[in-house]
Amino acid sequence: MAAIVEREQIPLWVGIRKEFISYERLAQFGFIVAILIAWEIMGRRLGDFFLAPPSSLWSATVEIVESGDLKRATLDSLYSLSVGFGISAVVGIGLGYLMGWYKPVAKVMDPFVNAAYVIPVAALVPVIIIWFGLADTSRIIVVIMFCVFEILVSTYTGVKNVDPMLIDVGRSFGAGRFDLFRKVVFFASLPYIFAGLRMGVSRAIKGMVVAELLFAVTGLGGEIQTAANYYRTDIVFVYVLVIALLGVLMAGLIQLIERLVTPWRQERSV
Amino acid sequence: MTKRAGEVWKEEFDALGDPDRGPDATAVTPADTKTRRSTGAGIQISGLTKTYERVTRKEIVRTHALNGVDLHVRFKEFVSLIGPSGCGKTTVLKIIAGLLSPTKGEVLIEGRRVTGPGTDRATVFQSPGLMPWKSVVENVILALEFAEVPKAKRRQRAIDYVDSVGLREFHDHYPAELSGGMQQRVGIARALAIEPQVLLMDEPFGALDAMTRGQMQTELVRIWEQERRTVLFVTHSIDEAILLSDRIVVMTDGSIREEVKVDIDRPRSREGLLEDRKAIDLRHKLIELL
Repeated sequence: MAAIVEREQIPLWVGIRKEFISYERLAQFGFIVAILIAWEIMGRRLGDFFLAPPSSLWSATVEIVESGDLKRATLDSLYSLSVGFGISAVVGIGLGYLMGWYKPVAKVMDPFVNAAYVIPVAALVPVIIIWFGLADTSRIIVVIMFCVFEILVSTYTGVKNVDPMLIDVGRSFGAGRFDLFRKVVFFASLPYIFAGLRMGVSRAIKGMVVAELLFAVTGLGGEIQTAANYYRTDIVFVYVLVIALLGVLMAGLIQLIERLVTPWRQERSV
Repeated sequence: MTKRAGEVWKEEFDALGDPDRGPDATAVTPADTKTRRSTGAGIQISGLTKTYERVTRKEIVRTHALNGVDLHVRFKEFVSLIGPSGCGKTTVLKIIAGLLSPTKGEVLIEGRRVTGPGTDRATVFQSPGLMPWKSVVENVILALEFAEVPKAKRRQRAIDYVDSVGLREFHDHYPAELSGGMQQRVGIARALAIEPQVLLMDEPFGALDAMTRGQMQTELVRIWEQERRTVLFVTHSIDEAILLSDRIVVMTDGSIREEVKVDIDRPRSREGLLEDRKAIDLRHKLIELL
């Protein structure tokens, strides 16, 4: 046989060290430090009004943490984000599968999906407010409209691109249509679906912030609007950073789920 | 290791029972196989035609992939179907597998008409077509699951067949972690694990390099000699066909051109065939035909 196989157990701490200490992590850290230094220098020259330097952000953070604004706004945003994204994932993946698996459905839906995909959702926000008011419903709808098509189109593409060879193999061993879908097509399209979810979550966060900026009363976007009205650029930056952090965390969460669900996609060479 | 696997096969093969295989199945020896003439056994193909149609605005383009193919692969006979690419070999195989339906004609497996895929047949494809998300053993188990083998038997049977193709160390490897030759071994183990009456092989070694290909051929000879099944083997390699087959069927342009019997004693080896007089003559004859 060609290759010799050797098995070695990895102790937990080595796994953790590998995850957190590496040249990539070091580079990321260095990059952040460089940006902060440049920002600090610029901020001190221009003054708080134009560009609040990072050193001033700490007190701003303390301020909004102590007043409870940060926690309230974050939870508020997270609620509409997760509900909207959750619904989008279910609807997008479901419709994507339907379109991929049943050709007539795809033929009927295709132009509508394309049309809906290019509509500038932000332009519709005022109408949505008129219809659904300023409550959570409107924000959830905006989030859905921002990200559902990303997920749908990715899923659809994934199902269409399943290797026909695998379908032939399944059929030849006697798999029925439902089994083919459940045990072959479902798994074969997972990489595309996760790509769609990753893109979708960033779009969902953008949608959430856009809605909140236009509503101007709730969530992180609302707080940004308020702070901007008081010329508190430091607070604006803190909230923007929180949103960026949220994006990183959500994308990381999806990546984590992807790794758990698709363990076959990570061989690495030593 | 190979010995153990051989024993496993032998046992399972014997245990498989005659009722499944009909009266023909009792105590088959190679000598029996060669003289067997019973009707309905093996693969019987009659008048197979396949036409593809492409309709454009101006015309209908008909491509005749097969023009009335008749072929009989006897019970436990190893037949190679050989011909240049595009001659319809794979189409014949896909129709037998039930993946394509013929325009005209019919295929009988052990006397039963083929109407779709079934577990009396198993196919080894050119590209192994393994599910990337399943480990080696799980890939075989999945096929057994599709074939509705009882759940309790699946894992052990999968392991036995994976071991028998020499992948004992690779049970929980994913296909992407295996070489092309090893992947194809899994494809062969998967087809054998179904324990089909008929084994269909569609250029299974076509994508492999010459050295691996040679190894795999030797291995297949070994496997087939332990566990005789009815095999239809599609290839475009003359040497491969001579090494493996009882009979070679030459196809060109969608119909069968000639059938030649390979009258060389088994066990055969690749080295032995290089100097074998009959093999050399046969090779010349086939080169002329093609």
